[in-house]
This record gives sequence, structure tokens and C-alpha cells, in this order.
Amino acid sequence: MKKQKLLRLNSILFLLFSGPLIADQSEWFQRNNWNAFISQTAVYTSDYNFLSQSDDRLSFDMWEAGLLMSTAVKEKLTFSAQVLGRKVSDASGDDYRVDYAFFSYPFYQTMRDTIGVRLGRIRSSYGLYNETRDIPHTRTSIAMPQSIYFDMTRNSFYSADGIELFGFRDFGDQRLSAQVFLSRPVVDEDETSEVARLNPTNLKGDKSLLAKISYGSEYDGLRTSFTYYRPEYEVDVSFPIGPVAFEDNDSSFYSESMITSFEYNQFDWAVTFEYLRHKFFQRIPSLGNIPGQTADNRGYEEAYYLQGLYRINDQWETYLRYDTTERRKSGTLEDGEKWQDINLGGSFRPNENWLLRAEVHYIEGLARLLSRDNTFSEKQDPYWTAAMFQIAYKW
Amino acid sequence: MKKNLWSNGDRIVVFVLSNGSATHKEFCRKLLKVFPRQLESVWYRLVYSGTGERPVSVNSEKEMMSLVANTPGAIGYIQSENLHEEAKIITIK
Repeated sequence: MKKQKLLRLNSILFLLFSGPLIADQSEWFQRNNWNAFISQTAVYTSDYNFLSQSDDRLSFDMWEAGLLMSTAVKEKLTFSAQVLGRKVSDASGDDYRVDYAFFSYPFYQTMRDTIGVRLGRIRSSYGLYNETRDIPHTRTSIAMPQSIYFDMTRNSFYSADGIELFGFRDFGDQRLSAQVFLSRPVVDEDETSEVARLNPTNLKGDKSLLAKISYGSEYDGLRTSFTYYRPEYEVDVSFPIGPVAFEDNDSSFYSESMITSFEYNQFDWAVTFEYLRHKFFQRIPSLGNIPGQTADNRGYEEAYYLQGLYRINDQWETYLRYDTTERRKSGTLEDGEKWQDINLGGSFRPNENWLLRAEVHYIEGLARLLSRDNTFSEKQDPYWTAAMFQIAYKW
Repeated sequence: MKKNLWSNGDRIVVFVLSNGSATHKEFCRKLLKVFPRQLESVWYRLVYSGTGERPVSVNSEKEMMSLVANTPGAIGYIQSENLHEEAKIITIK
């Protein structure tokens, strides 16, 4: 028997309906969602190339486009995928890739609890925003805070091939969730060689672990999370020491990130703070046999950003962010590299499809610049500025 | 906003008015205390992490009434003056 209810709150009514299921839930490929977006960004920097060839010129190199889909394959089994094209580095050029393509199945599900598994190329739910960093309409700014969401290793950190166990419990509007993701890291030689300061002749993803726990609401009050992420790689390297060229085919590299995140949301403002402690470790066994060299090199960096966001009205919002990174070293990794970025921006959404953004950055340091797009010298000016403008459209 | 199932295990089918709708704006601001675009960001994250679905967007309150009435497990909202005569009202205090 059918039953209908309406919940009245002031002048708006909630309509509820429940009754015998008419639709056949055993049908294949139901509830299909397709979305797409495209963006074009103009970047000007006083010095250096940042996300484009922008050194003392207005560059239109940076663009992003994505096609996203999800479908209920059968009953509770869903499939989601994204194909992305983008360009943020002149050296790497236009980059097209399947960012993620995974099946998700909640094998235990009630109104309050869900436990499930995902399989395939899965997005790394690193920090609060890694999962949606590429959709302009879900970001706060054009450039993500480089302390946590560095574009130097965007492809390596964005997704990986593996299996993820996830679960959550709802407490009203608050959600407690946990996930463990075991994978083989995606290999991007440009990125890994840049971060590890290696010149790999062969690079292979070995294994990766991501574990995350979070609690709170995405739109009202506090939400907090802790993420642990450790991708490991096997590398063959070739390097000169004096006049002699060395090769080592048994080298390895890993990075270990721990991110603690807090965000407090109210109707028209939000404050976000995320802190990263990032270690990296490389082992080149044959270096241990060379006087003055060590087989193991370690480094770490501490990074955080503090951001205030003000939603002026339905269409306009503005933010102010302090974004900082400091690297320390052991062995050959360089010491004292830093990145301090004070940035201010605003966005305008004339409707739900279009988005216009502008932001300015005052930066001290070079630690988050791509070395493949820049030539660094001893006497470089550590202080520089950037201005960015973006137009984006989504379907 | 994130729940997938009713207490009896049926799937929740959510209908929302389009972002341009005055009722949708009022619904977001007064009841959920968010701007419509914040709601949309939450849905994006759900859909593309495979943990939920974006609500079905409808163009008018008349269509909302019709779809909710004819879809099992559905939920939606309208202005009270557009109330369908067969429906009951529960006041939330």
C-alpha cells in the first residue's frame, strides 16, 4: 500500500514517498551520470615559470578538461571514471590520462552504516581536497595550496591501481569514515625523478598504502581528518661521479606523507588548516661503496596552509591564504628550500555552469616550482609574484 | 544529504529543483544553511568517489510533485502553496 507524507517547515514542504518498488533494480547500467568541464587559465609571473611558461609574460598555456561518468552497473555495484586532459608544464606538454576508473560495492549497508570495497584505478583521498582538485567548480582557487596539493607530483598522488576498503557511520549530519587503500603507484617519470632528484633509466611502482580517518560535516561546523600515504618505487639509476658514470639497478625510493586537516564551515565563511609532514627516502646501494657517498639519503619537509574563505553571496566569494613549505635534508637532498605564498583571490559564478576567477600570489622561495620548466642559478631572487585568471565551464 | 537508504532498506531517490529556482535557493539557505553551490560541491564529491549519487534535478515544482508521487523511495520539496491535495503535512517543530 502506498503512503505519502509531507513535512512542513515554514513555507517549504518536504515530500516523501515510500511504497513497493516499481523499478526493476536488477537492470543493468541504471542511474547514469555524465559531467564534463573545461577551463582556460592565464598566468603572469614576475620571475620563473609557474604552471605555465609565464616568466615575465602572460601565458595561456594552462588548460584543463575532464569527462566524468558514473553508473549503477547492477543493483549496488557502481562504476565511476574520469578522463582528464591538462597542461601545466611546458616540458611535459599536453597530458591526457584516465585519472580513475573503479568499481564500488557496498557489501554491508544500512541507513546509518556502510562498509564496502572499491577496485580499479582509485582516487587517493589525500587530505580534504585531493579527490576534487581537478574540478574548477569545487576548488577554492585556481592554484591549489602547493604546500599540500603540489602540482609537482599531481599525477603520482592523484590515483593508483588497487583495492580500497571503506566504511562510514552517520551521526546526524556528522559522518565518521575510514578507508584503507592498497595499490601499485601510478608511474610518472617526470614527476618522480624531479621530486627524488634521480635520473631514472627505469622506474616501476612497487606498492602503496593510504589510510585515512575523518569525522565531521562538509558544510556545517567542524570536519577533521588524518591521512597516511606511502607510495614506494623501484628505480634503475644512472649518474656521474666525477668522470665516472655509475649505474644501479637495485635502487628504491619512497615518500611518506602524514596530513592532519581541519575545516570549520558556517553559512557564509569557512576556515581551513591542513598540515603535512612529508618524508622522502632514497636508497642507491652502490653509492655505499664510494668514499664520501652514502647509500641512503633522507629528507623531510613540513608544510601547511591556513585559509579563510568568505562567501559574499550566491555568486561571489573571496579567500585569503598563507601557504608555506620548508624542506630539510640528510645526505644529498638540498637543505632549507622553502615556499611561502600569501595569496588572495575571488570568484564569480554568473550561473551554475560558468565560473570566473582571479588571484594574486606573493611568493618567497622556489621549492614548489617545477625544475623541468625552470633554470635555477645560485643568485636568483627568492621573491616573486604571480597573477592568475581563469574561466571555466561545466556541463 | 548523504544518506543512501531508508530505514527499511529502500534506496533514497532525491529530487531537487534547479539552482536557479527561488524555492531551491530558499531551501538551501533557510533549511540547510548553505549556498546552492556548496550543496553541489558535496554531491560532486559523493558521486565521483562512488559513495553516493547526485540528486535528480527537476525544472518545476509541478514536475517535482509528480515525480515524488510516482517514484518509490523518493524525497523532494516544494512551496506549500503548490501542495498536492492527496498529501499529508507534518510540521517540524
